[in-house]
Amino acid sequence: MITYLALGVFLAGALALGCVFVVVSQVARRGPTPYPEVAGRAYRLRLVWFFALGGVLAAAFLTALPYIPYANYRLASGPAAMHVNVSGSQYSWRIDGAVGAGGKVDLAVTSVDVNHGFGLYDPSGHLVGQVQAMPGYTNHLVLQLSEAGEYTVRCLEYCGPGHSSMFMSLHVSTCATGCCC
Amino acid sequence: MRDRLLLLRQLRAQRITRIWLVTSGLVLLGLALAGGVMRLAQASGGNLVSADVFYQVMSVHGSGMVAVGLMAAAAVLWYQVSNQIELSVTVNRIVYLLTLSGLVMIVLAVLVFGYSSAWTFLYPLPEHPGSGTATAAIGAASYLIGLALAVVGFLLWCLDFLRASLKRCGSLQRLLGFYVFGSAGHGHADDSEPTTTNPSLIAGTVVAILGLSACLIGALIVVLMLTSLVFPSLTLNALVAKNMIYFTGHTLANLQIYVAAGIAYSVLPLYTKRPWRLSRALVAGWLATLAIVMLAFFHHLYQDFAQPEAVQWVGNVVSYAAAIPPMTVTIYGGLVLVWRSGIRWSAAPLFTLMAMAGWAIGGFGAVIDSTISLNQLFHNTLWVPAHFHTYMALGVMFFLIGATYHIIPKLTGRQMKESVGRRAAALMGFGGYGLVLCWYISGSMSAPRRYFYPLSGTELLAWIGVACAAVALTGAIMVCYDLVDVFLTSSHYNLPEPAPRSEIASSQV
Repeated sequence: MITYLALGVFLAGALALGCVFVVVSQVARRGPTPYPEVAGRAYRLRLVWFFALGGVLAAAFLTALPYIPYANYRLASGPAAMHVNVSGSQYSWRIDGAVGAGGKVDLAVTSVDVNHGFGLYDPSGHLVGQVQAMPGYTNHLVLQLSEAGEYTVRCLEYCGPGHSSMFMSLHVSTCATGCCC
Repeated sequence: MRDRLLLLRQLRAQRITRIWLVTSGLVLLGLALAGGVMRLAQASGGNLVSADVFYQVMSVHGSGMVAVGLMAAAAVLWYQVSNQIELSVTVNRIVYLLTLSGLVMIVLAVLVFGYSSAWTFLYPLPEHPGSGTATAAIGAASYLIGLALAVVGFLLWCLDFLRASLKRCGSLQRLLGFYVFGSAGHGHADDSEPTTTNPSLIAGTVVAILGLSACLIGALIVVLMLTSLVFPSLTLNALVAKNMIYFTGHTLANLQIYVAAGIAYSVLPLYTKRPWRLSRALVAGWLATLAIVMLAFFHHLYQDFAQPEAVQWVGNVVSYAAAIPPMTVTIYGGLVLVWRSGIRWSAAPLFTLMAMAGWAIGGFGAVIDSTISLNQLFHNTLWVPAHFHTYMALGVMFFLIGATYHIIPKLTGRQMKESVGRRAAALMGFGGYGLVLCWYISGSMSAPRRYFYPLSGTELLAWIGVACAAVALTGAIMVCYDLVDVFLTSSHYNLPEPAPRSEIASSQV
């Protein structure tokens, strides 16, 4: 799961940053060392830090590029095999069309009242994709589900006091075009 | 005569700052306790309070924290620079009254009229609250008017700050420190002259410019939504409204940390006895921040696929870029300032250092969430409150507490208890990081935010989070108790206030 990898990277980075602050707080007690001496070295090092940080951010940006969720990227390798209309309303979902595992499914998501968030959870409870359901707009979420089973659609945008109860089950069949029962 | 007027002005400045500190301290503590109640209600699986009450508490917690957190930080920065620029005490009092009135309206909207559309109040939710409450429309109107009052309050603060700063420096270019690019050496400029700028003034100016933009757009969308509420035939474009709301909401929430940075520029040098001087890097960093904060809000709309794609890329690039100025200028500069300085870690610098850590760590979590492809899986999960509580609760609030420990002796002639401060720092640090860690883990497990109950598999994390929140809140209560005790038992005035230029000079040591 990519989210666990992100969590690992975050925890490692947070731990490293925490260590830096602890070390600095301890070294800070020593001295005082004349500031020009400290500042001179530190500000030369800052240039290296600036480019290192910029480089890491640029590398992260480029690494994440292939995983862009927008429909035109996900349909670049071929059209969707299934087309499903999804409409949200306080506090229920209406889903027209069948979904199968293996093929690409194009979910056309909208709302009839307020903003909702269409979030699709796989049978083990992990989010596999989401898109906003907005009144007046239809957003296309293209997904390729790897396993069949009972998925759960949850609302991920706060839509009123019944928000937490706005979920429904979605059966994903083994047929790549969604036609099998 | 002039000296007497100056003294009178200082006394008035002290008085309004004392009022700000006590009010905001108690309100922020109350809102934090409300947050704790939310966590407890959520962990209990919805058995403690109804969903209506849960979302009402959530709405007042979010709105109040953004509004009062920002205004409290602005009030402290106001006091810190009030002996460098001629800020208006009268305007500050009006800002206080507007903020308080706004907060009262918001609380009324929630407690009396059952408003629960969250601080984001995404159009058209206030018109369709989905709660079936008969007074929902009145609640929405009361909430929007309350927001408008708070926004106008901050607008006045921004205008007064710009007026007073421009009066000192003469021009916006000079105020923003452009002249350092023309100076010799490493771009360090002597900022002790009365017409030159300094890091706190630059931070305040950037905040004021961004605040003006956010308040104007915010006032516009609030008026439009109020009009739509009264005349339902007038419909707004939901995507445009969402852009306007997030431009205002994200900018105002984000500005808290930048106001706090302005405070740190004036506080930390006094404890390290080293100057936080103007430099080319600092000026360039703040100019970059001016553009970055204006455009970073687009990352809130990654999942609105109807948004033009170019805008989404701008959101990603700018959100990444937002990490560079703090990590290479303010946080880096703060660490250099304390390095081998022989500092004694009293509560004021200790909380300031911890705040910088919260800013850095929370910022890292934010960068991860601002990656478009990761946001697809993190958006509106508990990862989001995890990262913003890291740099708000463990960043902004720590900056504020540090500054409070610093300025209390000036306002009251009495010190807050150092032992209480250090113990509170430990409790808030351990409890706070424990709480956000539970959220980061839950977020990576896809647990949604703003959920009334924990999803299967995250129940234990929810309870651990409650325990950690209780520890952190204990620390916050200790600080607030000490703060109120000092105010109740000290004299109303602290004489004499240091001469107007003395603090500027001391910060240049």
